[in-house]
Amino acid sequence: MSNSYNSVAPFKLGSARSRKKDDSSNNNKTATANNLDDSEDGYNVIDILPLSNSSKSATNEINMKNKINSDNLNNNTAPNQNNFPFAFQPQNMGQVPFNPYLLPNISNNIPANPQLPFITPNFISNLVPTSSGTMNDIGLNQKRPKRTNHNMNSNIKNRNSIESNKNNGSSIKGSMDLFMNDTERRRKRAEKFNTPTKTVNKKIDIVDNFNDLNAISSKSEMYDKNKKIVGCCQTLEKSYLRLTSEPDPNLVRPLTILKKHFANLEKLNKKGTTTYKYLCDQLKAIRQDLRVQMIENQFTVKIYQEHARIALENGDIGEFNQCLSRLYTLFEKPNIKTSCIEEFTTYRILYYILTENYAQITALKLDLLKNKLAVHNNFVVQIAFLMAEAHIVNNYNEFMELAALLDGRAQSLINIFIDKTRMKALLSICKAYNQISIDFLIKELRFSNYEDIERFFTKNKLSQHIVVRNEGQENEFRYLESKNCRAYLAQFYSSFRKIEIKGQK
Amino acid sequence: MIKIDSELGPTDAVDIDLYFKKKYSDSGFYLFLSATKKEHQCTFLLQSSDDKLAKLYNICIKLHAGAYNILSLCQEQVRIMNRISETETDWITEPLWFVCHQMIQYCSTDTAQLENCGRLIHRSFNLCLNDRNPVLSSNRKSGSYSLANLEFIIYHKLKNRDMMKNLVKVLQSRNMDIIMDQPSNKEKNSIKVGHMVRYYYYLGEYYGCFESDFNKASTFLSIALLHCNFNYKTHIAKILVLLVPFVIVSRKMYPNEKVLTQLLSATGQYGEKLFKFIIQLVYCLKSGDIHGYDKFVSSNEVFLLKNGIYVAMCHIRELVFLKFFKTCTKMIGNNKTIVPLSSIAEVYGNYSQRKKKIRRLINMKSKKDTKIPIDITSLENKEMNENMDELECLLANLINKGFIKGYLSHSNRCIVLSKNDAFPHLSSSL
Repeated sequence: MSNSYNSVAPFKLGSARSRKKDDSSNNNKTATANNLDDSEDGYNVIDILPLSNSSKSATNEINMKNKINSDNLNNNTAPNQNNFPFAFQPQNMGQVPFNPYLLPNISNNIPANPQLPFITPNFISNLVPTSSGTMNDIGLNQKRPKRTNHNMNSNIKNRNSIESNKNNGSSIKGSMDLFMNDTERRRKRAEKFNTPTKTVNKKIDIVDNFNDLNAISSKSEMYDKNKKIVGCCQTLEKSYLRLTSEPDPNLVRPLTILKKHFANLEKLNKKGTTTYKYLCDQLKAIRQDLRVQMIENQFTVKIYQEHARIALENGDIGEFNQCLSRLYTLFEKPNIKTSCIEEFTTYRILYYILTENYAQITALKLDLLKNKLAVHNNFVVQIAFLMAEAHIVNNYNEFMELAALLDGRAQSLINIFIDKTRMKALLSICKAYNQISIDFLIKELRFSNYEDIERFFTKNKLSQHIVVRNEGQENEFRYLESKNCRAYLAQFYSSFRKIEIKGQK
Repeated sequence: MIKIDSELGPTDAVDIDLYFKKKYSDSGFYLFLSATKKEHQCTFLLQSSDDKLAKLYNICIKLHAGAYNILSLCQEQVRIMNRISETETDWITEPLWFVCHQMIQYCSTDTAQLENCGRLIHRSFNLCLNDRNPVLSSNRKSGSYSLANLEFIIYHKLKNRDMMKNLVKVLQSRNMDIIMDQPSNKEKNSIKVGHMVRYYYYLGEYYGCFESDFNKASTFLSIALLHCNFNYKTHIAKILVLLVPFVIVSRKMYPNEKVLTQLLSATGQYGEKLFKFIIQLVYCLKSGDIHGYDKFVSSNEVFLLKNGIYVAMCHIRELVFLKFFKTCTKMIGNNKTIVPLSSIAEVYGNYSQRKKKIRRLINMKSKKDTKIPIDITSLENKEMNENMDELECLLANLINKGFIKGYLSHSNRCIVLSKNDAFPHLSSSL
């Protein structure tokens, strides 16, 4: 789980300069947001040599060019030909709407026409940040919750200086500089001020570098997934949001809060007042918080078990499988007490039957025989193994008989693939019998009543083969004319494909 | 196995550049590459200024001197050999195999390390496979088999089925057999028969144990057996463990006892056990002893699970039951076409260990639900009906597969067999 967890870095425009870090803040672990400007030199956003990085990387060039445009924008100067040092102006290379409302503390200085389109003269490649958001463009993502605790101290100075420079002559200076070459500019500036070349945040640089399109370009690769986070958020509820970068400790809840929240969720679930969607969302958020904090104890096990059970009751097989797989790894850990391992081993076996993954069943059986004999000899686990054996050879009689012995939740898991098993069984039955009474089918294939089986037949287009004798009378006898079904069933079954449900559907 | 010439004494000098110039390799080169600590070593000369060769030289010298971090040095060695191999022709595939094999030998069971080694070997494998040299005799593709084998070894240790699946996909899609049959490669074939046997064994094992595709598995394993040297008894035993069940399921053939004794003679304890196992299996199959078969399977459970033939044994049970039913009909029916099922059901149901186990489980459950049977006769009838239902189910499956010609009648509780050839010869159903 690594993805956008934080809501930082509103300022984008492709520029990737390190934000001036506030020492007191705990921004060390957050994604390096972009600095509007390094205020070291007291230079404002206008100035063309913002990066002061002597490396002639393409990213810097991009950043600079982007910066140029942002400068122009902030200055309310139209991005006309005069401002560009380049012979051609890439008007049609795509445009990123520049939303100043998302910039920190910029609301005081919103330019007059915020709708002005922003052109990125990206000469290195034809890849242009789209309006849905570049890799850096987190700020433009509409779904992101508003970030309330920016460190704005470093920016205030700059913003004000922008304003002061709006009509200032330094803008002229800036535009004059634009005529020069990038590298020359940088060199001049470095010479002039003898400032140490401030290194741009290399991490984001690499991501932005479009030269090597085969390079790993996912931000999630940058972040160390084995680093533990300690959360400090105190709000109980949290909606689930997929992480795209390092998690923000401000949004991660510590264990005590999670426990409280889970207790609340259990109460709600018992009452039955909430929807599955809400429960699922909240539980996923809890799981995520536990995962980033690398908390792996009995509470984690409990969360996954509860989520698996709730998912099963509501037919959400994707989530169920996720929780199940995580539970296997958790049970292997030495400090975890294996509670309800029999129940979940049964689910595991049934899931393997569902996906017809018999090799895993045999591997599991071997493992249990060697290491966990008690679990192997458990009643429900034995039943599940026998069901697997019956399923391999299509022994529907035994399969259905055993399925009746399992209780509610396992039944709901079986119900997912029971129709397929029934069709397979029906194929054999129709091949072997000429006619077969419906009562027998109801009993053998474990339908609950006549309506149930009728529904099944209609769904599978077999209802025309049901023959009724002496209808309405005492000795009413319904049977299936199996001979006629054979061709249809054979065709039907050959079109079956193996189902593979891994994570989400 | 590549022989390392240990006859080179301290006074001999081995010129490494010569190997690269003349594009061949011999025992001296392997001596150079080997990672074992050696004293009184012959000197190795390297005059080339190529930095890759220089690095290789340094690492090999370190290994010869004895190092504590042998594995990381071996990994480095493989890395550099990969880089060197990019520009070399097919002579480099054997030394490359040698260093990779060496690395595996020094690898512990740590998953991270194994994965790392796996990645390196996969790189070597790709280097060989993706060689686009138009001259087929010097194309590195001929070495791909051996490296694929090494990859299989790693994935077996990791028990990673998905990686194996990917590897098999790649191998099958590239259809490398065409390369192997090239006349120019025949010479090399004779050296690499061992690799080929291993390759087919791994493929057969994959298809049989993981994909349950017994047909393909039988094909591959039979090729492996045919090419396997008669003297390598353990290899033959390993192949037979898989081959016999798969062939019974897919080809409906069982091994001849005489041939079996020849193949498995002098194999030691493992071979003897295997021999007994196969003999017992074949006996159950021939006689139709279904209850004996169930006992046999349950007593050998761990052996079956370890070797991945448990699923195959479940399929063989059907064939054993078929024989059982055939003998029953002969005893009862006197060649009549209509066969009542009641007596057969009784024999099958009441003496079956398996059925008893299931009934015990059902009783456990009903005890939990505190159900008490009303009277004994109804219970007996109930059991009778259950037995017959199960029998009908098994027969329905056999009819569906074409092993029995006829049809069932549920209301009359009998099976109506076809007049001619009710039990067709199994080979005709293939």
